[in-house]
Amino acid sequence: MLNTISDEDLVKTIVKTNDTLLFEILYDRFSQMVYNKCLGFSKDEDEAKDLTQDVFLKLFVKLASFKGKSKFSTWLYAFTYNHCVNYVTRNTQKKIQREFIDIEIAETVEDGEFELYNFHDMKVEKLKKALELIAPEEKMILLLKYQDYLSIKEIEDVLSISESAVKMRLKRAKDKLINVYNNKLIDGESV
Amino acid sequence: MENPFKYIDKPLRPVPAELKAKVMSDVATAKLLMELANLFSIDVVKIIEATIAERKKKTN
Repeated sequence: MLNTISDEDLVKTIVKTNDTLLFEILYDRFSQMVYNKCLGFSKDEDEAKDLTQDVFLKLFVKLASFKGKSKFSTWLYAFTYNHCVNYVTRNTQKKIQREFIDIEIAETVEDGEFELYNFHDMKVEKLKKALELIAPEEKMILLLKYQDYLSIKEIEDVLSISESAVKMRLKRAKDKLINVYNNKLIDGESV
Repeated sequence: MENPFKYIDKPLRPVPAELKAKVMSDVATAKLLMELANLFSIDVVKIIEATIAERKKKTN
């Protein structure tokens, strides 16, 4: 019965009971996803293991902050990315800053403009290298949109930022990635 | 045309087996600390509500 319970119901029950055995089921369902996302932000497997361990500990403590506005998996993607980005930028103090949003620019950016047309010709290995060369916050928002397929609305909810901020950040991250891909990498090597 | 983002983390790597025991041990410690903290914390809202209810009883 526990194997068929939805993620959201499982989370509700864990929050109510603090049952560690139920949390183990949650770990079994999501550990591979979390581990692989952490690998994308770490330099080796040991670092990814440490990050995954921290993410699950923090998840247990903060599980009650999941309000069910989105699917649990969606929320967990953002939760994991946020932890990884904070870890990667811990020394540089490059935390996500509230940006001044140029409303005029933001309003001209329509959802349709985030289609994948610019990415279609990209090679996977070269794309991976380009993602390493942009800021972790930019990498996070691109992965949420293009790898995890979150809508603008879902990104607004999980990052707690406005629609125009989501659009602006996506546009900037995408422009930066395309620029790095086209100009800073030759045959996948940084120049 | 395919979305290249779909393939950047493929193939998915398996989670190291020893990680689960570490996570569950962390979680058990966290649970103990949270329960201890609950034992010694005061629910201010509950106290205020109880006091108001008590006052109302007295004035009626």
